[in-house]
Amino acid sequence: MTELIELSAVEQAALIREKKISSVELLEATLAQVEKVDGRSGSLEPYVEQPEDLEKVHAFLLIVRDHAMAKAKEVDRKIAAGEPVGALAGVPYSAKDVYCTKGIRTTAASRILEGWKPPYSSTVIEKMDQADAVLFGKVNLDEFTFGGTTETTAFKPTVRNPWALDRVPGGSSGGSAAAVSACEGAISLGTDTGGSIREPAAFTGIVGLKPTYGRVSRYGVIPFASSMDTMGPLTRTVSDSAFVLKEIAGFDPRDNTTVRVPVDDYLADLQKGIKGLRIGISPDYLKITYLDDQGNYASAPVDPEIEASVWKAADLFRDLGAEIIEDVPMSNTKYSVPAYFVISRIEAYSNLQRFDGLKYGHTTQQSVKDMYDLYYKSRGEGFGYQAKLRLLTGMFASQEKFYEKYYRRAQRARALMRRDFDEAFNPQGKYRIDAILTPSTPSPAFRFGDAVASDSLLIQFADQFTTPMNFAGTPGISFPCGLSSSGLPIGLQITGYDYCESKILRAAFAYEQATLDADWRKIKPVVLR
Amino acid sequence: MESETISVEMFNEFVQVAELELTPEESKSIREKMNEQLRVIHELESIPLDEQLAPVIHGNPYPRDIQAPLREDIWKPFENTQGIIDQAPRSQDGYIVSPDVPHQKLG
Repeated sequence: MTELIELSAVEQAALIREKKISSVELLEATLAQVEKVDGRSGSLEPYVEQPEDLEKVHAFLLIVRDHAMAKAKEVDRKIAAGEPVGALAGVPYSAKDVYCTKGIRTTAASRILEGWKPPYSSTVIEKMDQADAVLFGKVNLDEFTFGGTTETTAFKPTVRNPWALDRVPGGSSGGSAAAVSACEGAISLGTDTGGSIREPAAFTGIVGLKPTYGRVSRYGVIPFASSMDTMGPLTRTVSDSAFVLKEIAGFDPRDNTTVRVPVDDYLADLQKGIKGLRIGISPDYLKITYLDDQGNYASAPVDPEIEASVWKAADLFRDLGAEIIEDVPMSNTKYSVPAYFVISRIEAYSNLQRFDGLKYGHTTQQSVKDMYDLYYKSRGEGFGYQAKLRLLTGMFASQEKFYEKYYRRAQRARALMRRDFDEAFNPQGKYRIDAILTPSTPSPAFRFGDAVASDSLLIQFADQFTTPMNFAGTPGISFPCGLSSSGLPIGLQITGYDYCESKILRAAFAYEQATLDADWRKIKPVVLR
Repeated sequence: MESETISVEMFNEFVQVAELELTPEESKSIREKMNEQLRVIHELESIPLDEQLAPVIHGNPYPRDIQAPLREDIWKPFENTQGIIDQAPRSQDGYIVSPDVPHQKLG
């Protein structure tokens, strides 16, 4: 029998409900796996790398054993007594450390929140609790989600990719992705502002779902860029992402951007198949486009193995009854990087102004002459390099004299990107597609330090295929499609129209089922071998 | 393409308004990085934009039929105010204690 920790959340929940295993037993197995592969947790103490650090995953910042055990015992008691339980009863999960958890330390991987215990939980955490899932730990991330590698965390050691320990797990939900990939729980909750669920999912060979903006409540999640932040699951199977989304989606009176759109039965809908689904492929998602030194647009192809994966998947989808529509123009994709720089920095600047060293978190221990001095010193000590850089860049770009030149222009570029999606998905339009198939990233996971040191365009533009969905507000799912010749996971992305999570989950599920026996699926991450 | 650059003086003003204390090394590195990033931001100027194209705050639209209704304007006490106060580095009698707030006479 497959080990408990390798089972999907759907399978784990069924075994618990059928009383074949207990929730406590599953929790113990999960914590034992963390003990085995994770190594020491990230910490704010001065970091000195130890040889054993290089062999571990380091996904977790905090394990809440007592909290989790109490919940697991309560689930077991309810089941023994024949009382009703939630859909995820007894299934252990972790959360990126930007989800506020009442009475449990929440850091956003930043020193500025040192020691903070939120007085309330985020809506998503409350919904997971109502579904009787068992929160057992908080995982590392890029500080305030500012990054795509998890290297900007203030809590060291940072997270390593379970497939290649000298490579990044992606980010900012790098801890979530690595934990799930290394079987430290079947579910982790992440967030996605420019690809922060989908990119790490691709880099670690798992599934990552970014729902439509407004589909899942943002209440109680520490924000990066409020007009793009989206909450979603990272899991090893497509079914598990569907399973979790059903529980966390829906209108929330505490988040006025959530919508009154019915929540589908995503898990049941997976069985509908993809016959007749129109799946588009765009040439604009098979190359990186950038401005060269002369100010002209130039392009570079994605990694050839990744492009080959797209076409191979297209053939498979066709065989399964889908219609493949080639040459769908998404020509404004290339504007995502400069527009993202402006909009995300301005929103980040606004969101970072709440941290003052006075109300919660880190406060300076130096003597201060007045309140402003306390602000300067506490924020100077508490924010990391990337937070300071984004804050100041956001402040620069949001000056009144640059309002038209930068912010309004970026918002109009955003409208252009949205127009790409509106035209491609228009049911009366030329293309009438239901979904678009793209690479999740232009290359597989890169080595530590390369995001800063490398001049590779494929690394510098690692999020060019994911940020357009954050601008457009549309959903996207990254799912594994094989391994590169160097044994690194490759991810494909299916993106759909507003609130059409059911369709993209169906497509990803169809791919998963059709490749269940593929040789690459028999290969495990190095930490599991 | 006109290119703004951030001078030392301008940068120091931003740092002041941002209420940050930076080391000299951080100041130098962050200012250089900001000037590099400005080159990316300036790419916005090369985007051909139709004058009629309206800017958007969010990507996906919020038609009235799916919008959340505005909440009634009713005060609701938070159930865990002590939990908020407990997180303040310094508090007394249910209040957060701050250092002196300097006052400036206007005009």
